[in-house]
Amino acid sequence: MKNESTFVKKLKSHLFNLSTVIIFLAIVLIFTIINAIGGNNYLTLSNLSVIVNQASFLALLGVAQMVVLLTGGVNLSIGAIMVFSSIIAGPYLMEQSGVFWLLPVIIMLIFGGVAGGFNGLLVTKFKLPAFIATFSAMYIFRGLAWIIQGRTVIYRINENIRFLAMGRLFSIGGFTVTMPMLISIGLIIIISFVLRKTTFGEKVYFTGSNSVAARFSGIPIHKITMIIHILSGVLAGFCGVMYAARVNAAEPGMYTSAHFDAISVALIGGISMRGGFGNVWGVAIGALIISTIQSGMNSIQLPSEYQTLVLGVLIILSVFFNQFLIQAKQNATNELSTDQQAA
Amino acid sequence: MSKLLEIKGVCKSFPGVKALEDIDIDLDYGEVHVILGENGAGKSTLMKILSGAYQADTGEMFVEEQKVLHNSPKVSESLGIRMIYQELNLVEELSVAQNIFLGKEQYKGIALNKKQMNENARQMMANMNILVDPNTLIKDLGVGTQQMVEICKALSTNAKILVFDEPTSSLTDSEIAELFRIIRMLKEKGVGMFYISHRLEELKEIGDRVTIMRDGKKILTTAADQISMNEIIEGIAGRKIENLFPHTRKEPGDCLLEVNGLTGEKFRNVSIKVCAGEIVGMSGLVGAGRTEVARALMGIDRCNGGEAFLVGKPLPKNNIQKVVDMGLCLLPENRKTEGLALSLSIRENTIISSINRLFPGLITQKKKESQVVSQYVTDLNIATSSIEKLVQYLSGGTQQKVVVAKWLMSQSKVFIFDEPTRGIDVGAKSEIYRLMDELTKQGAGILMISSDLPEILGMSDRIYVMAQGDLVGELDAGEATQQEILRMAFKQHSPAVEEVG
Repeated sequence: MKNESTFVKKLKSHLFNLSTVIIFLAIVLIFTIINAIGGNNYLTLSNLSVIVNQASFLALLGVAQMVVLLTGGVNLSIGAIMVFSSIIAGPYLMEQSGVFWLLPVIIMLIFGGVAGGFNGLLVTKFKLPAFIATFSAMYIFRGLAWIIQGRTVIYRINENIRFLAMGRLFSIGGFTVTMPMLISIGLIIIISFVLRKTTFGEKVYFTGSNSVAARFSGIPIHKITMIIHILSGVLAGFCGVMYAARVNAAEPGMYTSAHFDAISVALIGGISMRGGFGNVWGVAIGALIISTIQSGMNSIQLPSEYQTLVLGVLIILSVFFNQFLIQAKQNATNELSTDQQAA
Repeated sequence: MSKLLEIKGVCKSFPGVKALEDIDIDLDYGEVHVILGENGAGKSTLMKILSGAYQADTGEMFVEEQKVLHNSPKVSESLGIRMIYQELNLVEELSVAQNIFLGKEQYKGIALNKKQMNENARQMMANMNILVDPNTLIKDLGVGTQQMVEICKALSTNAKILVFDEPTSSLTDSEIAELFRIIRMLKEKGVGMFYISHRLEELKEIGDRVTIMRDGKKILTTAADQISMNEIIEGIAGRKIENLFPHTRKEPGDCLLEVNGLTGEKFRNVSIKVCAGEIVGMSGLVGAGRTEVARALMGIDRCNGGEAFLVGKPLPKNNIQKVVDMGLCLLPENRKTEGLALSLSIRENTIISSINRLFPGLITQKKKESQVVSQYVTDLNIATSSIEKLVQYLSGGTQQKVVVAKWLMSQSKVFIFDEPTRGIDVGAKSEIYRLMDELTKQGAGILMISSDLPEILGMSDRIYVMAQGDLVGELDAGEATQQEILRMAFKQHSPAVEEVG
């Protein structure tokens, strides 16, 4: 009898681990049903492929945000860094420049990292809260982009770079595997490895959970925070590459809502704003959820005015549901010893 | 004579736990009723039912012979029941007067009557013999004074029943003496008090009756002077505890930590040493600068002068990582905010200071981590179902052991314990003491900062006393007495000496 209950408890705890997956499946189900009522087939392989492709880009953004969230910070300058690095590399990004395609990509990663390092300095040396540091950095980097580029547009991006964002590799059934999918999966595996299987990752989680205790335990929290901000900047630089490649252009005013999208993805993916909690696979699912919601609303031809509203409501519901499931999971795994603690 | 409060047959269950089973308890006018028990015994649950924060599943409650139906925080407040919690419920950013009158502000017309409130607050504090400017912000006050403000706040309304939940856990002895004076004053006025504490010696001093609880059941209620200390400890722990302070004194070994003339913002010219196999107590009042010395040694805070050596090598300043690597560690008083990452597991908390050494190749192996951590969990007798359990769900004593495990694993040589058993119950306390003794047997040195005099006297080989930032004395544990330590601790602190004397 007792064994059975521990078995059920274990099962439950594993089930709650999949909380974000459950939300994702529920949303797919909802749109499938709504479409079926209208006589349409939503759940096709080709449609799924579109959703996953779109999610791949969002996941990159989400990962750039999540690494900072893990340490208890936030990065509001992701979009600005994307633009800033694109503009710096601008001349070489263009097809007509004729330079080897990897050069501008590397330039963008480096300048993304430099911008992230600037954020890191503000947070560690000048003791600014990450919110304020990256909030002002958002204006600074976009301002720099405007100053450098003015009201002109970088247009016709190098075809090799465009392939990174637009390349279709092969189809299985109706499901087309694209470059962004491979890139995202690859990146998520790498980041997941770094966070879960290295000493650096353990220090990141510890710092995010309690930075004072981390410091007292001999963790170089400033170094960790610095590296994380640089990493976030490099990832944002890479998002810049992918974005410019996708729209085949770059200009200072583009994608001003990037940091919000990045936060949405991370939040829906179960990352805690308080730090020290969540994993990168959650971010992947979070991206899938948002992209499913967007494509689903398009499929039922919801006017765009409503789409924005619905998206907001759905974010609240997902985060709420997620929190609920996380709590339920902790209760299941810890056998309610909370009361012992309280008494 | 009629009872002030009667609780009959109270039961309370939480999913999976029976927190209270058929509890009867009562309170007379002007009585101090001490409730003892380990963490999880049900004391706090019972008090929460009294205050209306929880609803009892069954049972009745009478206040002044009136049956209380549907208790709630509002109802209990109207009945004159007030709680004074272990974790103070004051708004740090507001002043003393603002806190006392929070929610019941006095007005002049429609404007707040600040002057009146300040004057009343000052008067109320003065009645308790506490001189404090009512404009002072709470965060600028010491914990002891904060406690007095909390009591003042409870008394500012018509309180008949006060519940003290571990009121003395963060107070020094002089502050405790002050608190007891006020409790006696309240007794005169007929206020009934429940008093929850882990400090057994307080019971005889202040308690009229005592109730011992264990595992949600009442073990006994008796007059405080009818029960021996051993009976109490056995009642609480449910087993015999042979010797609360197990430290075996022996010849100290090589000098591990040597501090010469260390000077910081809140302390001056502190010279101490800790040898292998030694427990060195550091006594003094809260605010004497003891924690600050520890923080400066660790490199957490800046220091202005002096030097420190660990096993002959100079300790770097402002470089915690190096200090930790060299083998000095701090077990902070506030385990939850400074010692542990509560949202992480026992494994993650234990391994954190050793991962660089365990995995020089940067890549970790969970299996190896689990093996190593499990070893320490077994060695230190850490009570848990799994090393993946989150630290936030552990009791205070077990949490402290996790911190010890962390530093033991990182091969620390000198352990600085800051209030090692604060908020830890009797059974777990003796385990922490045994652990400290074990550490010294293995050749470690311990510097133990403590405001708990029996603990200092029971565990230390040598005792340093600090007062107002100065090292005022060093005593051999054999010759030290409570009076001796207190006399030193109150040096240059004359007003308080009169109160104690």
